[in-house]
Amino acid sequence: MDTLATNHNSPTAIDPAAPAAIALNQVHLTLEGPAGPVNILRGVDLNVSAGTALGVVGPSGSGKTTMLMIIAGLERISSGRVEIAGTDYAALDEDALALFRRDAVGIVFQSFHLIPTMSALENVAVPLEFAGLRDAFDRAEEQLKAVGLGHRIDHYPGQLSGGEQQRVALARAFAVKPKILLADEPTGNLDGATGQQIIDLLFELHDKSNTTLVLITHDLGLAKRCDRVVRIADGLIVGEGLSDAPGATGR
Amino acid sequence: MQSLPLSLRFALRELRGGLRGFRIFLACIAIGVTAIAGATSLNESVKAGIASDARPMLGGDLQIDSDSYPISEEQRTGLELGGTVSQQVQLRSMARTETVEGNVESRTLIELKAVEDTYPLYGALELLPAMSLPDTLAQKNGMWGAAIDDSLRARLNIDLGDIIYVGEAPLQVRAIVMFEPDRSVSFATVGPRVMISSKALPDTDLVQMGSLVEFNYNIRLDKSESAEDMRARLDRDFPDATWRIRGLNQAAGGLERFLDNVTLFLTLVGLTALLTGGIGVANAVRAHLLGRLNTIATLKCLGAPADMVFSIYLIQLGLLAFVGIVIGLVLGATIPFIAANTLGDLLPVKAEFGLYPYALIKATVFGALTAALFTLWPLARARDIPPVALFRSLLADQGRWPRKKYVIVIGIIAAALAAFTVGTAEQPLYAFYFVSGAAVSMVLFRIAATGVMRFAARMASGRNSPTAGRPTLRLALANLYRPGSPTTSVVLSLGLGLSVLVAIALVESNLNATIDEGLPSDAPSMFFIDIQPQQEEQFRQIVTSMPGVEKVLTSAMIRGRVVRVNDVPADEVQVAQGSRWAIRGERSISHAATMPENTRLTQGEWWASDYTGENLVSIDAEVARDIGVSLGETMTVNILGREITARIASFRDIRWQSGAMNFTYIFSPNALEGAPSTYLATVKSEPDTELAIETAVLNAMPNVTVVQVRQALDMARGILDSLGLAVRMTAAVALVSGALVLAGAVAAGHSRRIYESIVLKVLGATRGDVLKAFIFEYLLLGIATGLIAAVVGTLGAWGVVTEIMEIIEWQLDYGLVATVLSSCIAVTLLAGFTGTWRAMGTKAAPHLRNE
Repeated sequence: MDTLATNHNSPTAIDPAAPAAIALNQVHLTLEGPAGPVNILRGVDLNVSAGTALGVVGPSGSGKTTMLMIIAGLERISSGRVEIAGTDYAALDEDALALFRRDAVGIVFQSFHLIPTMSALENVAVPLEFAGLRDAFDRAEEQLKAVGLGHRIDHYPGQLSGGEQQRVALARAFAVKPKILLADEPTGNLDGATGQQIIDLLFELHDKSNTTLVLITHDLGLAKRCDRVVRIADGLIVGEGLSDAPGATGR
Repeated sequence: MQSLPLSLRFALRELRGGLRGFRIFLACIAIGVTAIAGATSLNESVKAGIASDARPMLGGDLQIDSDSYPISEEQRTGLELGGTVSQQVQLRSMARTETVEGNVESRTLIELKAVEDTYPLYGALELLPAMSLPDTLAQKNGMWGAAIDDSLRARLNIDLGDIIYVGEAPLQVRAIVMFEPDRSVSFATVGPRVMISSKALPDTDLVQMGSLVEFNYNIRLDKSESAEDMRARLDRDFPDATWRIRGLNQAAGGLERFLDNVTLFLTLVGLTALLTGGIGVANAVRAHLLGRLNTIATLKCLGAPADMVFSIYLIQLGLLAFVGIVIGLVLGATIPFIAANTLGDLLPVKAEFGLYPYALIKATVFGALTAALFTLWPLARARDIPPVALFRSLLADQGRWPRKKYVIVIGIIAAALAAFTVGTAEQPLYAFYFVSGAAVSMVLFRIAATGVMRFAARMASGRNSPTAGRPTLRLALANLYRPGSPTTSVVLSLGLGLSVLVAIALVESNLNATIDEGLPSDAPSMFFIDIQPQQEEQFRQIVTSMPGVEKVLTSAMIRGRVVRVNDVPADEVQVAQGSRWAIRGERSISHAATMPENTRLTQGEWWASDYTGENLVSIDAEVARDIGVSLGETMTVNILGREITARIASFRDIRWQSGAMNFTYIFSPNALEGAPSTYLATVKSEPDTELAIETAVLNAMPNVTVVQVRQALDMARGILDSLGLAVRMTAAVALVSGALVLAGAVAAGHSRRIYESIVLKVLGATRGDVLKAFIFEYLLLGIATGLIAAVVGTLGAWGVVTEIMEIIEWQLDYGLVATVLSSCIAVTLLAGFTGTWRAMGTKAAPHLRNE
């Protein structure tokens, strides 16, 4: 494996001996389109060790989000092998995957995806409640305070700005202390300054919790803040590290 | 106006996508229009049938109804000046079969009709085998003939050629009556028809002074005189005659009134369907406009004024409503044809089928007004939403009132709908009650829906609420009170339909209970009618000697009619509808020296048993109140042409439900001295002794008629059951609209449900968790709607039962309410479950991608 390092601004040292938090092995995904089968992923290999902040870049339609969905257990692969935090997804059914997500995976989306009929506090508490924690609301409140929203806990998503909604989403994703945090262009719907605040918060939470972070982004500056970057094009990982010429460092 | 062609073009352009989103919109309008158009068309077609069959149905151009005694020779001659006269005598009696030795084999209650050879004057009597009526009924070998209903064959186990006995006369059954043109449909029909010649009647020995008999004289005019002229002549020549003259317009008076009532009921059911469906219409319009937010905003941005946006969608929805109405009219117009096949035999007339413009116009107006009423509100709101708000959020249109102009127009439409409902109804008062009831119910359900939402909101928020730790339950509750939730429309429409059903079912169960249990344990088990005065003593002896007899009561009974109250002729007395029967036509009156047992006087005093002074009378207190008489005033009755005036001495509280013998008018004995009376007897006995008593009495007195209370009740229950089924089925039409609205609400929430299930899955919810959330949502909705409907329906039924029907012992059938409630929950759950199942199968990933 190529270990071309990017800018290390994370103080977390990466232990090469640690078990891989994410292990994708020859992952293929073929979907039936209207005009015959479409190969979305064509043999992705990826190993990410625990605690790493991994940046994923690539053009639109290259398969970035699909890979993220596969890691989240929201999309089934056609062939290959997916092992997340030591768990082989092939052995899990839909409900078992949901329970695994509940305990180990947090996700942040570009369009927030908060439940509109629940207050900020209730939104953050949902995964904690699913986990059966008695102090779900207390923990949720703590988490909201940690993202600087202690004063808006009873507001509904519709009453919050985009940046505030994304902070609620972050608090919700981190509430269960996930082993893996997946973020799909979390600043895509936000203006520059607000986006910057969210990213700072994201990395701050990541650094504090030793969570493995997978961050999809178009922003090269943002990608630079990650421990490691992979480039995806046309359903394949075509290289590591940032390069002005895509494919230049292909294998 | 300039922009109209443009709006029309835009409106049509937008409909290119087809009518798929409008199935519920169309169905809601079509169902109500179908019901109204169908009911009115059916009414018109039956009335047309009556109009063309009036002469056969009445039996002549005119009919003289002379009550229980025949007219004089002089009067008959007077009638014959106008044309052909045909006398017919009708009474209830017993028919029996006997063995060769003269022992009675079987016996049953019949309706006897004795006719002259000229019968029928109009129309044709159908006999099987086909033969002439005079020939059938003639005396052959010393034996009179009879034509009978088919049902009597089975009851007496006889066939053509066999002998039956009616009164003292043996009769040979020679034909089956297949169709009797002037047979009136009446719920008072107690037995099968036996038709004999009027010349055979004296042999039966059934018609005696005071017997319960009806003499009618049908007249076929010979064109020398019009019906009006003849009426005038009879009034002039026979001023003292107490007969009633019926003309062609009264040929089917009872039937027409019954039809009008049925039509009103069906129209109101149709209107209920339209109103509940109207909520579905409003929902569909709102959903349609929400789906067009971008289009509207774009049009506005491109310079379309708000009025043009309004007219584009007004035209569009108007066209759709038109389509819905046309569907309803087509279906409604075919209903008389369908009804002809299913209930052709039940109707006494051949309905004339065709297109009835009045019915179709009426249904169109109802459909158009309701569609406008429920379309304008969301449309007017959408008109005023600024483009920016349109882009912002789906929830932006909540809770806003349209401009004053539109509110006024909507108010006018609502008033027009109410006015049209009352104006087109045969009984405007009932229609007015309905309109007020519907308005009040709508408001009540609206308030109830708000209550449910408030309650859900309180239960769902706060970390100490019962929902803490149960996010699926919280989500379910939140879906009940969130802005744009279907709670209000489902509670309003499904609840309204459901409460109509609950009310009808409860009224019916109360009627049934009154029949089943309304009779106290000391109520008589059999009635004996037409006991002659000289037979009374013998009757008592026979009955009291029988085992199992617990109580025997006899009363004198005389047929007479009220002719004056004080000095006002009975026809001119103002009487409340409920007591009109008491002073119209012939009634059974009685006399008694001592107060009958169980009598409670509300006012006045009973006369002394040896009283001989001025004539006195005691009256049913309720009838007295409705006629408006007080103690000391006078009433005059006519008995066989003799007028008897008596002063009102007391009022009695009569409980007709007690099943005991009761008379509205009881005179002091001296008042009716010499009047021809028969005796009416009631017997209370152990159930298995009834047949023996009947046999013993009737063997000794063949002229007496017996009515078994149990049989009569069974017959009443049978009629009630079949009526109840029909009523419930039609009420279900209103419920169908409610269910459609529910289905629409479920369909409208589909994308929301998919989204929520995906977000929950992302957060680690299993399929079971997601399912639970939606099951909760619809369970709560079903419980809330069902409970409210149960309460409103019960209140409605209670009002009808205690206030209108005046049944004293109101009973709440908990089982019935529970059944309705659980069906409601089951239906909402099923609807929710179907929607959820589809949502659950949706793949998450495509919905989570960035746009």
